[in-house]
Amino acid sequence: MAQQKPISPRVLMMGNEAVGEGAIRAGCQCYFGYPITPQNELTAYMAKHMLEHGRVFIQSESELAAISMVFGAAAAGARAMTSSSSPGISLKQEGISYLAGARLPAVIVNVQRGGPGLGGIDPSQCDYFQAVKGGGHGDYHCIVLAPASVQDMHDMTVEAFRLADRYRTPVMVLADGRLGQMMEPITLYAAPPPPVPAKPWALTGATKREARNIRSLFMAEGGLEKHNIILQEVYQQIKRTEPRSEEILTENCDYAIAAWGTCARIAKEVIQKARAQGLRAGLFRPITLWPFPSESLLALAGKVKALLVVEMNAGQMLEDVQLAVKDRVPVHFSGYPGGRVPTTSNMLSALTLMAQQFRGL
Amino acid sequence: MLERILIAGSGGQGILLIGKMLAQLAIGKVPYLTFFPSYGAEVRGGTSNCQVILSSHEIASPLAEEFDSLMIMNQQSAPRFLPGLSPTGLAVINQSLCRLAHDKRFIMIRATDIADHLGNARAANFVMLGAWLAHKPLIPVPDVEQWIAESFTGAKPAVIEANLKAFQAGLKHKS
Repeated sequence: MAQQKPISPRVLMMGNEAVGEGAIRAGCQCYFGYPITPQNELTAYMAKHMLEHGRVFIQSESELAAISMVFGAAAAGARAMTSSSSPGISLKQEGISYLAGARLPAVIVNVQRGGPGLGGIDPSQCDYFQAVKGGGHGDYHCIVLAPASVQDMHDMTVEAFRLADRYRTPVMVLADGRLGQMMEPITLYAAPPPPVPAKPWALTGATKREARNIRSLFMAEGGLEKHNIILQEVYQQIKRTEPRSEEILTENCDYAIAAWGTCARIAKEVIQKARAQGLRAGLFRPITLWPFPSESLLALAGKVKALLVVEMNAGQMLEDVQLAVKDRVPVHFSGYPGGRVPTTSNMLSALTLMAQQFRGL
Repeated sequence: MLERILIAGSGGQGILLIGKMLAQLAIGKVPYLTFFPSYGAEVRGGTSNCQVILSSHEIASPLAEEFDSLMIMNQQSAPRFLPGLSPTGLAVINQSLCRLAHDKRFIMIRATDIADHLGNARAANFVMLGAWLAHKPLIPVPDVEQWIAESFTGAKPAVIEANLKAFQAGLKHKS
């Protein structure tokens, strides 16, 4: 059960604003963005507060311009970020691929809404594939963090900057409209910004030193392969070091829900209600969507009778769950593909239905 | 404690303002709270609603299905949200704009008329809040009064005065 925390000085913030404040406290030097619902408050927050801190804010003429400005700022060694919502994130994919190819650290925040196309403005988790499988062209990955509360929105933005610099890679915070619009009291990050490592590759002006090149084009024979091998080595290192997940009530558990972000948050209540009804339920919540916490999930799969994946899409993380558990347990799915957020009773019904099928066997 | 509050009405009635205010004033008084607004396409004249959950325990799902308190500001919101009222819940109904059959869980108040008589019909939200707080004293009255006085910065003193009077009229309401 949840422990009662002492009441500490906290501030009430909307998820979108908590991201902005997190970025400022993480030492973000440049923000470039173009408005779109449901993440507008983030751009507005940065418009107001980046200038107060003597940092750079530009409302660009388009999403493409914003991500290209991020590329430029990151190449010059600055901590830079952009944010948008689903249709706008699609527009940024070319730039994200170039950032990955050029090994530039940057933070991209996606406050998801429904798709495909312009979709709708309601919360959704329909960009999982795009975020974790690459998104743009080429053999690359972004590290993808999945917040489930306003506090997470804040903390994970700080962490995103740390990871981006640590691995010289773009990092995405994959939120949704509900998390962006919700307000909760949070404890603000009060430590110094994560340290910036030396950037011996940054374009800082070539006076009295050798010229440097930031590029994603490798035309010499074997050059691209060599470059891709380096990228893959970095991804392997990230996969060994960074997978993160949270498990709740997974001891003595027969049926586990696997869910991320908003769905994981709702599932926390569902498993408690299920336990009250005598169903031994638990929750597996991936915190990093890439790297996916496959080993932890596989270990859990050995202990439960079945898994229920719940997502606000038609079944995307579902595929990574199926890959991770290697047929050790049956995997069921309950999806909400149209921008609707499941209620506690929706999710509890799906879990109960799954459990009944196993009891009937 | 667990108090699940939903405030609903038309855009422009100050629905989100009341919800945000409750959330702000509850910080430091309850360990956990969430505020969630309807957003985006719902603008002035359309429907508007928000949820505030106050709790002594961690709030797992920020989306309540049953409510301990409703503030219903217009007719359109009544059929949509009243089915979610808990059997032991309390609904404050703006009788100026809603016609509803009697229910022992309802507090009927002519909020828009009262606010209009006091000089500003737009302060009806504070009449509703006052009537609710009179029955559910979860936030101290002086905190609300101070919030009104400090939050309408740049507004004419008459606006602050109208909101304060509206709030006090709601507090005194007997139903």
